[in-house]
Amino acid sequence: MNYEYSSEQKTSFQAFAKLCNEQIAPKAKDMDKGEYKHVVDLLRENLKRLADFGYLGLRYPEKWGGTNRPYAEAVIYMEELCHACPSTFLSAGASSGLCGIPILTFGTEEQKGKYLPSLISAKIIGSLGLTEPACGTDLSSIKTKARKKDGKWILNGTKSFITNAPICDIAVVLSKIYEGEAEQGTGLFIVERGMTGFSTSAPMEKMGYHGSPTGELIFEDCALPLSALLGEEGQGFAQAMRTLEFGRIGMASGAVGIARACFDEAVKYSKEREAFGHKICKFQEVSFKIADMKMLIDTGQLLARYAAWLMDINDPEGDVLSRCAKVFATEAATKISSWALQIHGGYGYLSEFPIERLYREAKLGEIGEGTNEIQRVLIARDCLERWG
Amino acid sequence: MDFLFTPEQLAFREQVLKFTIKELAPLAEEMDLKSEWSWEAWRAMGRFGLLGLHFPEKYGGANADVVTTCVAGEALGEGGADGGLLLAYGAHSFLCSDTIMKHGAEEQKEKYLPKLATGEWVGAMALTEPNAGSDAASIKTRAARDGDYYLLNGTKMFITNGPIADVIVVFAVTNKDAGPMGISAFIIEKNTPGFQVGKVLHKMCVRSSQTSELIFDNAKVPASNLLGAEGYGFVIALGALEWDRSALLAPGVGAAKRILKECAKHSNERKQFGRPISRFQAIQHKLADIRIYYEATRLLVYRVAWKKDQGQMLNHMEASVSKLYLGEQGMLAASDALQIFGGYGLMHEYPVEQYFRDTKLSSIGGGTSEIQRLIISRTILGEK
Repeated sequence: MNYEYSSEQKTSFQAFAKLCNEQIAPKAKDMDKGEYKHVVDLLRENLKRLADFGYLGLRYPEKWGGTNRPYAEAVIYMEELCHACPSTFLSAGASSGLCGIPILTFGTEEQKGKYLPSLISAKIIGSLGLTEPACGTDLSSIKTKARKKDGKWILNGTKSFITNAPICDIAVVLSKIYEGEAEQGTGLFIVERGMTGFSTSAPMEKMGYHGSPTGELIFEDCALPLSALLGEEGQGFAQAMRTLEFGRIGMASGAVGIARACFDEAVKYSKEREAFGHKICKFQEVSFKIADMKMLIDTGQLLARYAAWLMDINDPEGDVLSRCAKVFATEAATKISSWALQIHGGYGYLSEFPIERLYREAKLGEIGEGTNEIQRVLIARDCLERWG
Repeated sequence: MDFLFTPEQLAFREQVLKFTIKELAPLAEEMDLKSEWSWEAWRAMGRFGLLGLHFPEKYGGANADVVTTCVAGEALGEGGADGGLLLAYGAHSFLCSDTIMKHGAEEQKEKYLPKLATGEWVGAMALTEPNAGSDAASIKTRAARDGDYYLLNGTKMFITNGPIADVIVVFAVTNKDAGPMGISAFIIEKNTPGFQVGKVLHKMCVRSSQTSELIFDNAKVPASNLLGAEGYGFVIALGALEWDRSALLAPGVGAAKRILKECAKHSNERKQFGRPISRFQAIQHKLADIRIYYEATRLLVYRVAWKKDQGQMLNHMEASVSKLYLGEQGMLAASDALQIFGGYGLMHEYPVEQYFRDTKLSSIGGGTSEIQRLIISRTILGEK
């Protein structure tokens, strides 16, 4: 048992925190409020800096330009990045995580060689297309169809709520496979921008994460080479689920990062603001909220780190623990963002203070990477199988 | 970073679990129902070596580290030992014995520890008073030096093991002008002239543990029973309370697991509307939340334990975080568990009824949730 990281690890965490604080956090406000074009420029710049640090390659073998770090270590970097700028965290995660990880896990050497070094160095931006306009949690009911015709895959359908869609160079897409009218399971496909019949929508307007473009991936008789199939034909759903295991850990760690950012803002403000002749941090209504924040942050951190560690040692319990961590940490983040805003009083409602943005960003955690409702159903299923 | 237990810890866990299921769990229901102390259970724990687990071997212990001690505590809770018995065990082992082990002179250790380790003597710690709970530094019990003795006067309140204790670590003021630094700790034996056990208190939770007032009326305590030095008492108390927020909580982690298992089993067995209630999302939601609570408390309690084992400086904030989480979220988990059992949950023969009552203690005993929040927020905000 060892609840601490090594001193080498801590040194590297500090270096990354410095990068985040000095180069990424200062842009967070601009990325939330700026013109779309400017926002995308800032995002690309951030991704480049992250690539230079090695953040995008943490989970990849050296062969592809990565550093092959364990999950239990990667969670710290994710937390730190999201603490600095949730939008950058989300786009980086969608590109080198959700898009890159399935290529790494299920791809051929050729596919890996073609895409991974570029994703890790931020030369290209990736996305993952699972959700559709009419199905999110109930992923098995997707409507996108792939058919083989004349030595090509023909893809038809629309993916929605896709992080990075408007700016992506490649997308990993989940589709049903049909032969004639018969459904033959599902598959993951790698689609490149520029392929005939593939387009992306304009960015969707949303509540938060304005620095991370979201949109649709649209396939109209999109023709893909046979080599675009990722992994095994028929295994797309299972492969997507495995990808989401890692996504959940990311969502949990990101939520802890947001929670910490809210906590920092609340502590700072409560030590400055005066009421009734005292700093407001002197009032238990304020200071006890801060204590509760700390309790939830510590617990969320431990759950995320524990789940990540279980995955590192290939313990099958990692799956359910990643769900526990995701549910706990994301709900902690929304509570904490709400308390932190409350501590700011009227100022919390103004865009001038970061808490207004963080409050909007925190909410995504309860929805993205599998809603907390479906996570609870699956956590309960695990309990019933184990002990029922 | 790793969360591995050693093979020895895992094997020991299994032994304690088996022992608990066989020897302690069968006694639990009646102990609670009758609010009755069980010497049978206590002696069995003593024979097994649980009562002096973390003492050095020379005092009859097994020299276990804090993590291993928590492993044993967790197994006791998971196996279904009575909550009152486990509280008595905690007060005996960590609040009384450990305090003597950490701060006692060699003579004191040799005199008390071996008998405490076997359970032949029962230990207690007396800090709280009728008018001093959270504000522990405001205790009024006085100790005045009188030749080779101290004369103690005052009343202690809510003292776990009070009626059955042979040895009690008592905190009293030796210098009333020095605030917390004027408090000293004494070892008091049950036959001390002028000392008597007051009213035995009946309580809502952990009912089999015996709780009472302790009354000191010119109690004549040999000066050699001073623990550490005069004025050192408050520091001693804080050290004891840190145990309160780690090893003493481990049985609660195990109990949460036991209840989680019971809930899973019950919700699969119980049918309503033609199907097991486990098929309803309202029940699944509760199961999931209890699971998250269990996993989280476990990580928090072992974090404090592991850090204690590293000999790190007392980290009051982390200990308080762990105590606060158990105390606050524990009640929510207990309430969810009881709700899954419906009407049966209210009945004594089902395990959640007692769990629900016992869990309430953790937001009050060993420092209320409010005091934990005070410690955490002061640490963060840098206030005194």
